[in-house]
Amino acid sequence: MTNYDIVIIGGGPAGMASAISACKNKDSKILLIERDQRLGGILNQCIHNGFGLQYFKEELTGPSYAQRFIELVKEKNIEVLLNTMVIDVSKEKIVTYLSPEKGMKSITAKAIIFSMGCRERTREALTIPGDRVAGIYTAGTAQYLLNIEGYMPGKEVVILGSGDIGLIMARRLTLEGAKVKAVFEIMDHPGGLRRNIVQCLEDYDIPLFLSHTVIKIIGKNRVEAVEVAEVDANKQIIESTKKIYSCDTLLLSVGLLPEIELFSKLNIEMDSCTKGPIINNFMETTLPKIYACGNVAYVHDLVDIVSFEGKIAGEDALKTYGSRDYYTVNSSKNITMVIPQRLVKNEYTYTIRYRVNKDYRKTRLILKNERGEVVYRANLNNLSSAEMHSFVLLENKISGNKLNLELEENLDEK
Amino acid sequence: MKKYDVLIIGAGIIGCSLAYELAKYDLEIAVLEKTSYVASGATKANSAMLHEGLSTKPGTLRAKFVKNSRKLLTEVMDKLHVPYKEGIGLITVAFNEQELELLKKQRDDALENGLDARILSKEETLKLEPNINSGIIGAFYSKSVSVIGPYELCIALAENASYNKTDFYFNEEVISVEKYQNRVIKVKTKQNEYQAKIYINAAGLYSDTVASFVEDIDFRIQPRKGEYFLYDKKYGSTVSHVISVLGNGKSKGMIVLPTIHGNLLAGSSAVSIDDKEDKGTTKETLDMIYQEAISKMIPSLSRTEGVITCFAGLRASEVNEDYIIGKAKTVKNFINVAGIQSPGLSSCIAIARYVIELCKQTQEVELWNIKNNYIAENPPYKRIVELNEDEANDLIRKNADYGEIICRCELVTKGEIIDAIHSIIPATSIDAIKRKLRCGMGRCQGGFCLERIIKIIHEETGIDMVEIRKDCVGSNYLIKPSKGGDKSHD
Repeated sequence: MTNYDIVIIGGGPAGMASAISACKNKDSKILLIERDQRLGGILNQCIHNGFGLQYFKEELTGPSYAQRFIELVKEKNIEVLLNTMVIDVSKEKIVTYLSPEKGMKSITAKAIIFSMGCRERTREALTIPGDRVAGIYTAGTAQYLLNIEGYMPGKEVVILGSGDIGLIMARRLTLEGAKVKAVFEIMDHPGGLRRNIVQCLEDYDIPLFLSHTVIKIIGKNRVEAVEVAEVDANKQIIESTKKIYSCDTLLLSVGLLPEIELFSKLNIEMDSCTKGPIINNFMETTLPKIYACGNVAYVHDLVDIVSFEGKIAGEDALKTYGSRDYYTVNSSKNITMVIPQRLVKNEYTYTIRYRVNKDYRKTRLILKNERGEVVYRANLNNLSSAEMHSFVLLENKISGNKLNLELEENLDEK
Repeated sequence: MKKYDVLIIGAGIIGCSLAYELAKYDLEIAVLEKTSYVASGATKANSAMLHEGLSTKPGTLRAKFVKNSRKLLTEVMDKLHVPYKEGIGLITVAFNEQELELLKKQRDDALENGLDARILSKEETLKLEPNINSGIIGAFYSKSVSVIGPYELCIALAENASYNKTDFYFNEEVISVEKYQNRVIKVKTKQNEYQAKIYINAAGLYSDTVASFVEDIDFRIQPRKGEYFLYDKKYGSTVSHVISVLGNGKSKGMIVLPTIHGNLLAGSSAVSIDDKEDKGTTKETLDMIYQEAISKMIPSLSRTEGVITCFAGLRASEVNEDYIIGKAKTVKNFINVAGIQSPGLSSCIAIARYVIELCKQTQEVELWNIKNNYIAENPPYKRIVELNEDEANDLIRKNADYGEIICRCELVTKGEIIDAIHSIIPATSIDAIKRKLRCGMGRCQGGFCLERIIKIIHEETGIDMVEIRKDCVGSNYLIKPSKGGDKSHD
């Protein structure tokens, strides 16, 4: 069996960044496995711009952002397998893949980096009742059909969910001549970034209905209409608000889930908030030398962060180290997720990322230890639930071992 | 125009069982189907379970045909390599003394019918199935219940019939019949006409409609809708038996079972409806199934978490709840096989053999000789990912397409999809490929593979991308090339 230093599963932005940083010299044996016919992952179908402002300090489209990394991968001594699907990974770090060129093959690795990205929630994840007909797409599938295959998936479109991909697709479909009738969001605030609400909906007069959801899909062979209703504060349907919208297409932009199935049998500890594995500040899972980075670790807003984290994972995967001691980070009270969940001791500084459950005008973020002592505190204004936030934590401020992040209620409501 | 000996209307489990049995004879057989593939109606959406008549009313045709049906069907499934899990057993749980009494009676009835059955204590039940609600007080147990792949069975039957020269015509909906004196002389679809000596109506939900093209009829199909939850394979080992609860007046007995594919299936409701096209799920019914069956039996299962799809199936039940099997009253050569509902899957071969006797009795076809070159078995089939490395590599060396995964959830390769497209019964719609190979049945529900399969169908068949459908006419996915789209496909 061929033995690699590092096997990276997934050739999107996370996988490419980690492969590049792991490849320090020409002796290292690094394998990057990608299931599609080209590297780049989901960036290839994201032909809009807005990528790279943090990483490259300039605004790029998805494919051009990907291309910069593809060029770097080519320059380095990285073995790349395209059209290749990993079908099994064992605890002993044996990776079995299936590929048109190499067939079914098992290899071993000293370190594995999982970077398979995420998948979209489907209609079923929301259990929208109604007919099972053609014309129901996740926003990403519609994006692939339009941007990669060059086909229009619909003429009259209703979008459920105001996630960024849905917003981007509302604009894209409109530019292609489709009528996007409305975007419905069950929450009382948009799911996507503010800039996308403005640039993709408001600029094109596409209405966004908050606290609304699709309650039924109607059609015989293809979608003919959807039934929509407003929901109350408990997300219960308000019967009197039911309304039928005729359309031939329903796009779902209702959230993303890390694609963790490949390693589900490895008994890596998982985080029920991120739906991904528990990771440390080097993106390492609870199994030594097994890493998760990019959207398989947790769903990101910005590819730039993915690239930064991939780099960290690649560097750490090369290192040899003894046993690691940890601080743990949990969250409660208005914090919906925190990353990383474990901090390797003696690293001086840590970047802590988190999401909050709703929009806050004026609030206070508090990190406490197991004794209730405040380790970090920050007063914050205009904290949005649509974006991930972060702060830098200095190790010399940390006392105790078990940290917990929480957020106070809106201070001006008190 | 070619004149067939026997023409079957409908390619569901009954039509395909008939085709399979008839194809043994040296006859010209054809099957007309209005959708794009076999197993498109009740055959694809049911409880996927075989039993030998637990709770079928004695004296009915339903009871008659299911009796001793298992051996017949098992032999066929083995020959055709249809997946099934024999005798995984049924556990019906009781939550109170009243229910336990009913189950004791069910046990007595089963024993009387020669079936195996016994009552389990609470402890015995929980030992067999630790995830069952610990609030039960006991259970009924019968080992003779099996789970199968219903559409796999139907596809295998149809493919075997095809290997034995049966002609299948898809997207052909019968819209009228022509009679001369006391015979049907042709059936017409929107596009074509077909002639045969004997016609068999196995049109499922529409068997009353088709029968009424021939004569005034005294039966009526009243669809009964059953809705289901399908859970991710992660949850497939939550139970190892078919678990059921007794009905409570509002609902009939519902079940949770491990499917042959490793998923968990839960359902179903049983609501009589009027609209034969109403295959939609409803929030109310799904809520009811979750409360009355799923969470009641297996409290750890969530309403949403792990649910990969919900679907509905329409059983083609006749208003009097029994099968209608027999010759039409006013013509000699037209046989109705209607109202086939549970346990129709178990009984399909038994029914088909009985119908062949009816065909013989019509004397419309003189010779019933067995074919000389009859092909009894289908070629064995193994999924690529189930092969060992050497077996897989032998195949991939010959054809690299077997090394390229298209459906990521169910791990189906491009080579397998191309084979299905060119198989003896070509799968050229998305639903056909789904039923044949399970592409799109996994947790992403086609999110990753739909677009790729559309393209492969296009490349292999030359069908324009925008003409590729989910199933019937009108179920197209793509509207037109985009403004900047690659027009090379046109």
